[in-house]
Amino acid sequence: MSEKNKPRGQTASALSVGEKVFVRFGKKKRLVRIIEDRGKIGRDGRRLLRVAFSLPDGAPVQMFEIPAEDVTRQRRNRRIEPKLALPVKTAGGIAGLR
Amino acid sequence: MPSRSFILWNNGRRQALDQIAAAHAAVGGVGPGRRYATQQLNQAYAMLLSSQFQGFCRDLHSEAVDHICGPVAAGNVRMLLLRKRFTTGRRLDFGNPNPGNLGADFDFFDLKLWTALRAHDRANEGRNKALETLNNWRNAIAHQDFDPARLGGRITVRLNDVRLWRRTCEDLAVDMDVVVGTHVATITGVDPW
Repeated sequence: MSEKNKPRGQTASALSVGEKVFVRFGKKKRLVRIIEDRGKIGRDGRRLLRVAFSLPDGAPVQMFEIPAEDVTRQRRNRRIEPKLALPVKTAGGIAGLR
Repeated sequence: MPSRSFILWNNGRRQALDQIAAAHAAVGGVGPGRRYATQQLNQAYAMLLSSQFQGFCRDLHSEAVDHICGPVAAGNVRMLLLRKRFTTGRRLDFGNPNPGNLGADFDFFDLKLWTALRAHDRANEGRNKALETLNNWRNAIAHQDFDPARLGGRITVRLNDVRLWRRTCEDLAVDMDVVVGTHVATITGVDPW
C-alpha cells in the first residue's frame, strides 16, 4: 500500500521519535522534529506527538503537541537506478562498466 | 468513564509502583526490624512515585488540550496556535508535579485546579500539603541534599511516608480526573470522558 493511500492513523503509528515531519499551518508547511511519542492519550485514543521547531531568525526552539494524524512524512528522494550500464571514469581512463 | 490518562495511571503506572513495593518487601521483609538496604529503596520508591504522578498529570493535561482543541481539519491555524499556547512552556514538561506547577499548567485553560479540587473534596487541602512534602523529598533525593529544615526535621525517608504519599497521589488522581473533565465539558459543551 502506498504511503498516500494508507489510512491516516496507520501512517501516523509508523512515525518515530527523531523523524522530521511536516505540520500544516494553513497553506504553509513547517518542518518539525518529533521529540516524544506521547502515546494514544488524545481524543478517541488518537496518538499525540511532541514536536520541536526552530524559526530561521534564531529564536529559541519551540515545542508543542499535535495529533499524529496531523503530520505528514517528509518525502524521501528516490534513488534513480541507471537504465544503461555507464562507463566509470578513473584517473587512468575508463575502468569498467557499472 | 475515566480519562485515558487515568486508565494508564491505574494500570501501567500503578503496576510500576507495585513492583518497587514488592521489591521492598522482598529485601526488607514485612515485619519490624532494622534493615540496611531499605533506605535506598524508600528513596527510589519516592522518586518513582513523584515521576509517575508527574506522568499522569502531564498526560491528563495533554488529553484535556486535545479535547478543547476539538475535531478540526489538519492545518487549522487558529487551533494550532491554541494548541501551541496550551502545550508550550508547560511546567510539567521539565518540573516536579508540585502544587504550584500543577496549578500553573491547568490555569492555561482557566482552570483554578486547587480551588476546584478543594470544592470537590475538602480533604484535598491536606493532599496539597502532602504533595508538596513528597516533592521536597524528591528534590532532596535527586540532588542528594538533605536539609532537615525542609524535610520535617529528618534526613531519612520511611516506607510509611511513601505509602501515605502514594495514597495521596491516588486520591488526587481520582479527583483531578473528575474536576478536569468537568472543566473541559464547560468549555466544549461535551463530556470529554
